[in-house]
This record gives sequence, structure tokens and C-alpha cells, in this order.
Amino acid sequence: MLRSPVPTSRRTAIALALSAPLALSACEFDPPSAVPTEAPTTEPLPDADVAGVARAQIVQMVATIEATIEAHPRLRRELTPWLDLHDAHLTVLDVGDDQTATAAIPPPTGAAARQIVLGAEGALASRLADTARQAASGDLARALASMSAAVTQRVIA
Amino acid sequence: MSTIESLQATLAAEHAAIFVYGDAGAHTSQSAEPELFTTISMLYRTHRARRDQLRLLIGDRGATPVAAAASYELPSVLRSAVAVRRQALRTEETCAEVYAALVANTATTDRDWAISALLEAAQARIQLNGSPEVFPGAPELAG
Repeated sequence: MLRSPVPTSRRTAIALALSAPLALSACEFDPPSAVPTEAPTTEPLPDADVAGVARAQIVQMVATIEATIEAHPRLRRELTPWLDLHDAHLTVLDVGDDQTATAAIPPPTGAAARQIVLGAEGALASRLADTARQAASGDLARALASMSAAVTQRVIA
Repeated sequence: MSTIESLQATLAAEHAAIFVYGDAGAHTSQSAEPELFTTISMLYRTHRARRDQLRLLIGDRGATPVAAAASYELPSVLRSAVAVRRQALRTEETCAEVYAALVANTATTDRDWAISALLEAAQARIQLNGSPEVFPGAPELAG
């Protein structure tokens, strides 16, 4: 009785949205502010910026988790599923760059380090929702909102 | 899909969800399963509130909000708390996909609404003892 909507996006759709302005023209709202009439420029597309911001935030989170696991190996079992989740999200947001991040030194106790990670994950969920609001492409917005929801689920689980 | 079409599809899903939760509530014992009853009741009220909000969003655009069907075909008779929980999980899963589609087809405040609904549906899954997902509402992205 409840029918799932026909999926409106695939990874390829997101990739198109990040690489081709024409992919955005199918949206009925918020069209590109200017249609290029001359030679293409090398300036990044707005959605490429949005995806880049989201990717940087996730990469920073991964660095934080990896530093926490290194300092507190007992947390590996608990934190590894977070790494798997972020890895899946980064795969969708892959725009061909190779970002890196440096994490702060984790607190000396495992409990405190765990709390830092969970707090950072909660903040990441909020920031991913913000980037979903900013995306011009509906497909990218949908993917980012879903990532935010996934992080939220694990924070409260 | 246009924004108005997506809003109407979401409203149709809310009508169905309300019907499902009404049935789930009727098959949940408040005394034997107080926690589940509270969760089902809360989700029933949540979907009713979303239905009312969607009616306003659609009406504000000069369109007529889609009406609920006279009846809905339920997939199974809910004979146990496990069955109620499973049905509620399916409902939230489907609604999450509808909200995610709405995110893709809206902008500004309408998109804000859709994102909030998606986040709440994802949290409802955990409240119903469901497992976390990699892409709530957009499972095909998992590859």
C-alpha cells in the first residue's frame, strides 16, 4: 500500500550534477544563475563547492576517529562501523580530489575520547543537513540529507 | 517530478502512514506493550501533524491537497508486537524514501521541511529497534 517513490538519483546522477551545469537544468527551482555563453571557465561549480565542503567535514571526522582508535585501541570495535559509514559516504562524494585532515590529540581517557567522537558526529550530522540545504542539485541535496540522517541514526542508536 | 507533485506524493504517503499506524495502535496493548504503544502513538501523531502541514503547503500554492483513500490494503494482519514493530519499520522506511525524494524536488523552506522529516523518520527507525542504515531514504546509493 505504501509505495516507494521511484529513485530519483544514482551515484552517476550526483556525479553529473557535480560535473555538468546542464544536469541542473532539469530542476524547476533555483536554476543556475547564469548560463555560460562563452568558453567554459575553470571556476568550480557551486555544487562542487558544496560537495567539497561536505567531503572535507567527513574527512576531518575520519581523521578524528582514526586518531581516537590509535590512542585508545579498545574503542576500535565500537568506532570501526563509523569509519565504514563515512567511507561509504565519501565514495558517493568522490570528486576526484584527495583531501587529508589532521586530528586533534584525543583525551587521555577512553570515555572522554568516546564522548568527543560522539559530539563531533552530532555536529557533523547538523553540518551535512546544512550542506543539503545549500545544494543546487536535488540529487546532491538528497544524498547529503540521507548522510545526515545516517549519522543521526548512529548517534542515537 | 515538480515540487507540487512531490508534495502531493508525500501527502499521499502520510495518509497511508496514518492508516497503518491507526491499525498498529489498535493491535498494540497499552498494558502489555507500554513502550511500543507509546512509540506507535507518538508516530501516529507525528504523521498526522505532517499531513496537516503538507495540506497547508499545498494549499498555499493554490492546489487541492490529495485526499486520503477510502481504505488501504494492509500487507498482513498484525498478530503480535513483533509484527506491529515490523510494519511500523516498513512504514518509516517508505516514508523516509518519500521525504528524501521531496528533498530532491524542493528548495528553501520546503526543503528544510523535507530534511527535518527525513531525519525524524530515520530516528523513528532506531526508536522502533531498527538497525542504522548507510543511506536512509536513499538505499540505492549504497551501491
